[in-house]
Amino acid sequence: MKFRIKYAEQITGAFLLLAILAVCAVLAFIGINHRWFSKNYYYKTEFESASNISPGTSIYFKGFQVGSIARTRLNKHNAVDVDFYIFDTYYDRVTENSLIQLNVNPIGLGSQLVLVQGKGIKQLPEHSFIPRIDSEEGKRRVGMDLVDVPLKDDTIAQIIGGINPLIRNFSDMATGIGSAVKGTGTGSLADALRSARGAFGSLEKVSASMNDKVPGILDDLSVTMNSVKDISLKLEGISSDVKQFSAALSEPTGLAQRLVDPKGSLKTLLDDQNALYDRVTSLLDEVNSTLVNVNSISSRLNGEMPTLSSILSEGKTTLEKAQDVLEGLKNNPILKEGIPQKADQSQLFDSMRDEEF
Amino acid sequence: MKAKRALAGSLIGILISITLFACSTSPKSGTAVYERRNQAVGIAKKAEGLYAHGRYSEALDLFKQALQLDIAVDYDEGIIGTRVSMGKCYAAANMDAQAADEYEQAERLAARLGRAELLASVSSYQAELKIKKGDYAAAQEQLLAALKKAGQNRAAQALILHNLGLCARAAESHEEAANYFSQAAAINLDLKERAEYASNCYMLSASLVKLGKAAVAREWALKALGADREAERSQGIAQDYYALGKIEGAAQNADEALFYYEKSLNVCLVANEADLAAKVLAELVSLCAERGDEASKARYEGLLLELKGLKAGK
Repeated sequence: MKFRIKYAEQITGAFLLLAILAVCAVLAFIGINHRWFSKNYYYKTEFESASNISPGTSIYFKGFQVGSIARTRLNKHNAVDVDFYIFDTYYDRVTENSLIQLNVNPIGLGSQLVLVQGKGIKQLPEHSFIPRIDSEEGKRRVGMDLVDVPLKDDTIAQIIGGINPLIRNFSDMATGIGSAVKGTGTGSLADALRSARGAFGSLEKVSASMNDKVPGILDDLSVTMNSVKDISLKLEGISSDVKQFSAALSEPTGLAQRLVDPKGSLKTLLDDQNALYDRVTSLLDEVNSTLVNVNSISSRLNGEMPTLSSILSEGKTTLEKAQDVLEGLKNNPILKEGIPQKADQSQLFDSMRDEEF
Repeated sequence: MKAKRALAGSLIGILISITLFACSTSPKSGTAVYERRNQAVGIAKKAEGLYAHGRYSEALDLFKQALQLDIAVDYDEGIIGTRVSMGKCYAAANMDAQAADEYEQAERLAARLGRAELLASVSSYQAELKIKKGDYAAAQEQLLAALKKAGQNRAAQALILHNLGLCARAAESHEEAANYFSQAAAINLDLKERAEYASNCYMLSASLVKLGKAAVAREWALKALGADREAERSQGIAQDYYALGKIEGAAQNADEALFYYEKSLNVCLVANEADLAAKVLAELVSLCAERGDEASKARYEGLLLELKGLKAGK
């Protein structure tokens, strides 16, 4: 019985057509994405050097890519003629007096070509020459406020730009401080310095009055010193008594020696220049560190116990599964002869030999 | 159209039949399990290999493991076989009392089971112990009784015939002994029991030497050597070379005898066959003295002394 599919050729053809259509659709999408079907409007400009403006370099306007460089070439004046184009969607932004600006990152992080829109209303025709912003014509247009110069959105450039006002502020502050010190300035600092000068004048007056009173104070001090001398003599007597008491304690028949036998174990143990104490301390330290280790190991083991238990359990399960698989393989009639057959135990046959021959 | 339908129906029928047949060939579930029993058999096989290489102690350990498994699964035939094998290991290690004990236990179980052929082989081994003791008459009696019980167990028959040959040889009936050994050799050759066949050939060669048939004896000794080589039985190879050395020595072929003795000695030293090595060395010393080869004689004497020293130390 022969099996066949009805309309096989038609179905095949339909699939083929579908595939071709899919390829065309994909190509169309790619083309749209790459602007194969869009019109570009070409313009010219001129640069001193071709560095940072290779063909394909994008042109931005307000952060959007509005065009790209098409071609660069060195002209007979050793300048670089640049042909670039603007996408049809942004063509209306290229107005009269527009300029081209090359922003080069001051710390070498690349460059950006920017379209600086002119303030004119009239649209610039295709193939027109658009000058650079740093050219004579560009400077003139900027000076005449014919262009809408955008703020640089480069962060580094902004930081560098922000340094100038900061320096200016510092300069103003330094000038103010200088004026205040000279006494010609105004403000809080100058007022404070003037008050300080007044305070110094008062201090001079106090010093003069002190000169008159010092001899009397010195007399009083002499009397006080004599009293201190008497107290010192009394303290010396007390010290002598203490010394005698200490000597009594240190004698062989003294109180301390009676309490502690000089040849006894206690004396021997204690009078060892801290050897026993140091040893006990070190032992206690060791025991402490050992206990810390044991505690750490114990806590780790406690922490690992569930893991170990699960590993063992998993291992057991795996072994059981492996055993099942192996048994299955052993029983597979294709691999072997099915279930293991009963083997009969033989006995050892070894006939005796007469070595005497 | 009808024919096409019939054809399609037939095809479907054939497919169903093939499927059902395939299912019927799959292993049946729920049959008996022989895993541990087969494990015991495997262990016993390994032990037999060790025994063949003269490693009796290791063989005995494995036989004990096999016995435990046999007992665990209540495999009586296995228990008898393993006990007999253990008895052989003890006997080979000259521990005859232990061997007799194992044989006795095997005999009791075989008698309980009513397995005459098993009883026959056990009796044959018990007779071997009597032969070792020199009690040939009792051994012969037991063997003749066992031969009747052996029935269709040809391996047991061969063993009994061989042992009867040993008894006849001990009684100086070399013709009768040669006859027994020949019968045993024929059976073992048929059973392809190489090691047993080698033993039969060896003893047949020994009997033929006694009958003064050195040429035929040499042939049988060479057959024994060939069979032992095939069975890779070191002890047997060493004995065969020793026998050939003796035969060539008796025939005044000193060079040949020297060659065989040296071969035997090498195997003995490698296989740790100290007793046979001592005999071979004694023959070599004697042969070298006859040939006037003092250097070799001194060397073999030195080896012999060293061997005796080692044995004494052990």
